[in-house]
Amino acid sequence: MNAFFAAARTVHYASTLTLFGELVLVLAIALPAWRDLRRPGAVDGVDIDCRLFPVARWSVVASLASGVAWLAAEAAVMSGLPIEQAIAPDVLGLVLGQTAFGRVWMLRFALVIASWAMLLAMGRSSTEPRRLTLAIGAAGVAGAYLATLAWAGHAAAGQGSEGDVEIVADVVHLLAAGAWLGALPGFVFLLARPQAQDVAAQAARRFSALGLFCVCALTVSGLASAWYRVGDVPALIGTDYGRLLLAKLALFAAMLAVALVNRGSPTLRLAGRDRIALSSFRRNILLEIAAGIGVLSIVGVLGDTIPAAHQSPLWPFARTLSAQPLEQATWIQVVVAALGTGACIAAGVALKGVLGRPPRLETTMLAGIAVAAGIIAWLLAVPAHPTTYWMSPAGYTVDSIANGAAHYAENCRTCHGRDGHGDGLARGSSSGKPVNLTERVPNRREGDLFWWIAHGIPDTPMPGFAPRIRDAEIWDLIGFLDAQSAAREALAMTDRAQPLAPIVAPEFTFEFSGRPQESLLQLRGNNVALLVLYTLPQSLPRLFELAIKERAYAAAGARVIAVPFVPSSIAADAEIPGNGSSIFASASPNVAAVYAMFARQPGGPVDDVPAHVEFLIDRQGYLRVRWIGVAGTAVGRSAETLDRIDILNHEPPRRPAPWGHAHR
Amino acid sequence: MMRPLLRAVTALSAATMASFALAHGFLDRALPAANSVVHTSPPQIRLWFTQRLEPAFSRLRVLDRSGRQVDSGDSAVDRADPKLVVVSVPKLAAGRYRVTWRVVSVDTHVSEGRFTFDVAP
Repeated sequence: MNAFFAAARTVHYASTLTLFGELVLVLAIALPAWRDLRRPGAVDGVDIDCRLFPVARWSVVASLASGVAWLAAEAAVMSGLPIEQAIAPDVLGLVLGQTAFGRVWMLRFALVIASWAMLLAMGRSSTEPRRLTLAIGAAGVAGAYLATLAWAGHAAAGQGSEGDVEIVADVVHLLAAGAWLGALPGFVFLLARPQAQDVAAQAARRFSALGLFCVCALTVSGLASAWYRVGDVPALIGTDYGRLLLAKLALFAAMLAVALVNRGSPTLRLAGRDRIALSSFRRNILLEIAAGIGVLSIVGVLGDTIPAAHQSPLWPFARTLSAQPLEQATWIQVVVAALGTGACIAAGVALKGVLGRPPRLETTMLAGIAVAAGIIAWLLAVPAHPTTYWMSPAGYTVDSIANGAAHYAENCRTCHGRDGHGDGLARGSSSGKPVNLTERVPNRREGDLFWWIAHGIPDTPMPGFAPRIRDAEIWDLIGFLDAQSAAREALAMTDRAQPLAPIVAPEFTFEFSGRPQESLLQLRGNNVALLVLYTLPQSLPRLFELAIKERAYAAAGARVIAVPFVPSSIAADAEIPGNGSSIFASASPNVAAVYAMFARQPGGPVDDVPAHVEFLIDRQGYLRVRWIGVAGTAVGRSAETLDRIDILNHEPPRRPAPWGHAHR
Repeated sequence: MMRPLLRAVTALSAATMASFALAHGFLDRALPAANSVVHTSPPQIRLWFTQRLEPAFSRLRVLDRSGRQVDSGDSAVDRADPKLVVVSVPKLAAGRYRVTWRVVSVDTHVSEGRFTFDVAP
């Protein structure tokens, strides 16, 4: 099924590109080259048309047939039915009428029929100006037919201005590929004519200029698409999509190399009517077409592959490049900058040599670039593991952190200590001391942490815990380590909103009686949250105050969520008449357990968890303000709270806290 | 003539050093949340995804412990938010429920999955 789908895509791309390329060839290359010659008695463009248009017409047929196959395969994928059932009228009707893909496909069907009609009209019309107008129109329609393919790819799901850039990049990529690769088959036909010698040199020169422009457009638009679909080098090397893209780039480079060879000596010799030059020129073009078919086959498979940016890449090497050495030593920064500049200059000189006539290979420049790249790579290399670029699938939630805390207590505490400072009872041996996690963890990739926890660190006392601890649990443990490091930063939290020292607030769900479950994430962008962790009976006066002033808090755009430190049988709202139930939420006991980590004060007793603590969480999901203990005067605390809420409400909008994981 | 190529080459060297990774996976979050316990039976189950969805092929179901479908059968993509799928459920008795989904995004990728939540009044 997948092979059928990939084949349908490949044939469709090839035929649609050729249709557009043919018309570009006729209009921009062949006709002008023929006219340039101005030979007495030369036939007009009709002669060229008769040879080139069968290619265009067969392209239409192939494009139509493969387009239908693509639609059928897409219907099967979307509906989940086998293809025989998916081509039933009601399923196809749903796909065509009610999906974005189907609507684009109907438009494209109209465009291909219009192209067909215009080609027929060109075949029947006798006057040259009329044929020329029809040809230009057909090229426009064929161009639109090709460009609308962009809406059937990954770019269709883009959002906002980024989505627009993706679509534009895809459209430019398709049209440039059509004008270059799509025109090649017709070019071969053109050169097969007996009178071709005269026109060949002219056409080759024009085509070379067009090809250069197209290659630039392909490179720039390709880089833009790769930015969104791949994103970075680990995704390029470590995922199927990335490796397919590398293969496509290799074939593209091969096409480019052949095109550059053609640009050199054969073109010059063509002007001298050298027969052998003509046949070698044609052979090179056939080689380009062969490589181009390879490129399109890869594109056909890529269309069905998940973009690399959405996957966890598996890093295949023992080392990787990192910016960390740059941050550690200034001399490394200087050396890298100098070598990088030198390499860019050398690349420019080498490129000039390659593009010159005749083209020259500047081996010294290339050697210089290689040496510079090697030194930079050696300076910036750090150890790496297969999981280095993995992202945690667990969200930063209280349940995940609490689960991680349990595993930490069981496995890690003996060496790394209760708070991760490396001061556990087992103090290590001669091969190493337990690490202070709160210092190290924030600077390490979570994929590396995953590897070390699972497999240990060789030549140190750190053991591996897989498979005793499962993967999902290791990610929870990493979530806990992040929370542990954040808790250390939280020691400095005060009852003021400034200076800005944001700490990500772990996500949790809560329920007010009679209302559906809500979550902290939902409040983002809308409300500030006041999380109150209380103990009865000490917290009663403050809770009473909160219940009375509930409307004031609501008016200030704040949600008050009061959760007990210890779930008790005494219902808190029973103590408070009236509106009490609107601030008391029921939530998992993990909420209090995890947020208690952020409730310690510097210099206070290590084991001391206060009886009452309040946090203000801003609208981007960060912990900003903290009050520990019940205030002397309830009114004073209320005024302070409302004042801080006001400050948070009036802050300029910032990037929200990462939901997928804490940081990095 | 040389300048656009030079520009492309420098952009390539800059791009290879960039670091930009999106979270993988399709389902962003859900309410009731996965593996959570709710005390009041929810009126609807809501799932948010990372990409816009095709209403014609995106479906959500809720099953009870024995595998029987308990939702109202009106699973639909929210008109105002094309990344949100909602299905309403009648009042659920105490117990564990399984949410299963199959959605198609606007770029024709299919995603399936399931999670459970408990109702404990």
